[in-house]
Amino acid sequence: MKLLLTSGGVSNATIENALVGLLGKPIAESNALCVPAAAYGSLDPVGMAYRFITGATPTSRLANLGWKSLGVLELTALPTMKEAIWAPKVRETDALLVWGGDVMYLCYWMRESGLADLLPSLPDTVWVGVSSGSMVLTPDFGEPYDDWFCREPTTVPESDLPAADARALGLVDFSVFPHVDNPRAPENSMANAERWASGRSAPTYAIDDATAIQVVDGTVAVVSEGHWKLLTP
Amino acid sequence: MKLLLTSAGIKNPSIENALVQLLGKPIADCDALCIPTALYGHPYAGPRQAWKCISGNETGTPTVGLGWKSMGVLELTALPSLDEERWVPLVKEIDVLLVEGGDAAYLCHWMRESGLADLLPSLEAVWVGVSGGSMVMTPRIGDDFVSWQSPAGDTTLGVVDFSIFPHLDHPDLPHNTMAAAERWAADISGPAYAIDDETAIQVVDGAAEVVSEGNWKKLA
Repeated sequence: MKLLLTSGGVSNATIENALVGLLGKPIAESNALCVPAAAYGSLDPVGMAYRFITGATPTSRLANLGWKSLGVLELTALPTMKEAIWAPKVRETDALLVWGGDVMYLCYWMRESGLADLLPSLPDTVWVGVSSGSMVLTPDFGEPYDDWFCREPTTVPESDLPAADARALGLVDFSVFPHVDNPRAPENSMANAERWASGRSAPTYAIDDATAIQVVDGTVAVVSEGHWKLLTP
Repeated sequence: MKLLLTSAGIKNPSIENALVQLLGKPIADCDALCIPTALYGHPYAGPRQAWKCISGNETGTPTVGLGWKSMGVLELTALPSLDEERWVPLVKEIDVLLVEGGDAAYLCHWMRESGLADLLPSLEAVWVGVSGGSMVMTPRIGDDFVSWQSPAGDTTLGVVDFSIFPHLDHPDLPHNTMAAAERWAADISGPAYAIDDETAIQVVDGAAEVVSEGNWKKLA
């Protein structure tokens, strides 16, 4: 699997070029599936999912890039769908577009749905993450942060869950702190990123909404028209 | 709750007029939620079809694209893992629920699991069903229409006291003939309607009324 881990979507030409490079063909010739699950853990579950799926996200481009086709991969539905119906659709798609919201909620459903187990068998698929959709692949997204960064799925008893970091998917060996210095998220200052990174076991990329991290065959490259910092614990 | 049970959505002016009457105000003044869940249970539907419906690009079954004031996705499979305060107040205030088709048995399962089935009696919203989204409100859908297996079999919510055979005489569905509908109705052993894609059944205070620019039949 090839990764493009963004903070604010495909927000500039440099990130878009990186995406086309990973796809190996134009976006208009590529099929994509939208994964809205993290949005359901947000404060506005129905609105955020709708805006993502329909591309009504002018400042955070992803579903609205002009894909050849789009579908909705609903992680919460997968456990009650026949795997023979949904798994081939995932294997056939060129890209998985994974929206943000609540990283704990997304991580829980990545495992519960079976999609996490399928990822290693998808060498050519491009995972395009936004915010929590990027963080979910890291080894360590910490404990709930200002009641905003992440939250437990509410109906699962706390005692049944392993510690957060034991649940993280760990497909990459670094953490991601998104939305650095976003004016609408004052808690995402670089100073807070440094504090947060100091508690992580792995190095942290603190990235703003004009930055993405591309990972191909384990090789990490930062793609940016903005600013970012690699923070080591 | 007022119901507009369609076979294929708001297909003609008669059905649209009925919808506006049920809403009591123009479509452009109404807040709507779409429920795509049934699509995930049907072998012929799935991810692509869900995107077409949610984005209003499914012109064969017009619902989401009618020009609503606001729109959101109420995904029933996600609701059990959400705080009720995130969705219950919203549903109580919404003007209309647009319930896409697919597998009625799958939808019924998630109507109950999500808690939405229990909320229905307290809702002001108009329920606009498409195909499986209409059939889920009936007492039984008949074995012919069950593809997703559940312990409930072909038993559905029973909000209305009649069953529905949709897509009558649809050119792409050669089995959906009136003769097949009559055989199906005999097995159901209750009141039933066979309706084509130009027909809907509106239900207000328990009174059912057919709205149609096409063909339909009440089957005993």
